[in-house]
Amino acid sequence: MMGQALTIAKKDIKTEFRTKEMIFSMFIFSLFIMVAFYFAFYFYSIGQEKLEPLVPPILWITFCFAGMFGLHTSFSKEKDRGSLDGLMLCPMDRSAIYFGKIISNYFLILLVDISSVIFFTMFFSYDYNGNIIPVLIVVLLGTFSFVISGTLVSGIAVNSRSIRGVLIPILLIPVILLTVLMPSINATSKALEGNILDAIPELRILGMFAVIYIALAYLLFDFVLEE
Amino acid sequence: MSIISLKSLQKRYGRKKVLNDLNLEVTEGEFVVMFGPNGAGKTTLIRILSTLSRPTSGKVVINGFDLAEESIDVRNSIGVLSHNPFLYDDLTLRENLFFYSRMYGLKKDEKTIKATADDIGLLHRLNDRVGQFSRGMKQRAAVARVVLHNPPVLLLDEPYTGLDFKAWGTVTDMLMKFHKQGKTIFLITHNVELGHKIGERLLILVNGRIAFDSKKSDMDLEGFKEKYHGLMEAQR
Repeated sequence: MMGQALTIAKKDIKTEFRTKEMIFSMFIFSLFIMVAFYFAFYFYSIGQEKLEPLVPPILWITFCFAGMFGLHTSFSKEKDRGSLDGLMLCPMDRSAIYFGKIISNYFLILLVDISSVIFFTMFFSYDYNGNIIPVLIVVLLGTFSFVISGTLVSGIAVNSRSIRGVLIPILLIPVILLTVLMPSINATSKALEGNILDAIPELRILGMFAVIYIALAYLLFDFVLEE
Repeated sequence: MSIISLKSLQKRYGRKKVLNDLNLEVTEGEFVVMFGPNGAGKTTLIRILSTLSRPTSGKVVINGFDLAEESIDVRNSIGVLSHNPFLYDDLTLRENLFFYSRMYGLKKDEKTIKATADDIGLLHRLNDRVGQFSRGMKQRAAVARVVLHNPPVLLLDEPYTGLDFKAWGTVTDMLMKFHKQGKTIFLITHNVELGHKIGERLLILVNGRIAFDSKKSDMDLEGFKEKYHGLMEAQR
């Protein structure tokens, strides 16, 4: 099953780098969010000191909304061109489709997250207090948890053709608020202070819910994709 | 020996019965053509046989595998072709065929891919993106995808939709070739002349029930047309 998941992920990444549809829209969206925050803070002349506690929420709001943009197209592209049926016809456990999408979504969303971290440095002349590595570790783990839950929700939303775009944020935000966003924001705050070990409880929550979402998807994905 | 067996098959969407106590036995190697008016349940039936949709009740066995219990084995036994080729426009034909061969657990074998592309007359377009293909070429490429894992049963749902006369002939020739190789073919079409010409057994589905089941040799084209139009009127 993992071989087929990897094949799906490779195919997704290859087609994405040819069309650049998903990555380009996520990239532009994250850039615009940073621009919006930049102008909001520019007019209120917010100083570096006041900016400090706002860094984790700004980063995670950007990751979350840009990521949702990408998650939306992950299954909908397959559905709209009819290739989702082609995947479902393959002789494998259908959770392989979910795992394949997790791998490709993680890779692509992570690229956008890392570029958002760079945009933030550019716009706000912020150096992450010299703790960029601990921050990136939290970004890696938090994004993984986000993608696991987001891919499942994206699969659930794919068959509701007319409200698909709205359904993903409606379903996903309540799901990730306490299980992904809050722990990731807290962990990023601690990482910015240079105490990545203090963030272990938050990282544990991220890991725990990631395992729960994976187990749920493994059990339910066959039913999720059926019309 | 029966390769497709349906027993008391029912499918409901809410209160609406789409398939109504369907019973059918298809013999190995048989070329079955199913006709029926729009909304008769033909596509629902193909989707159930393809494991893309679950029946509400009843039993389906394909190639000896129970659809409810052994769906992965069923998927390994069937090749499904519809008007949608299930191919990726942004990948080349070679990449598409390699992708599906890996998905079917086949070895990455350049020789097989080339031979398959040659069979469908697209060897010279192996490195072109499928998005650049005409509708007819895409459908030929889809045929290659369908037979890549050499399934004993082919399920075809309106594969002629949108094809020009030439592509039509090519797809028909391919189907006849697969039939000669001993594959069981279950074709759904609205084209009575074509279905009567290439099929061995003719079925008409009306209101989710098989209203007519006959060997082609038992009924000439004109007689069949008359029967078909009569049953279509009955559904209205």
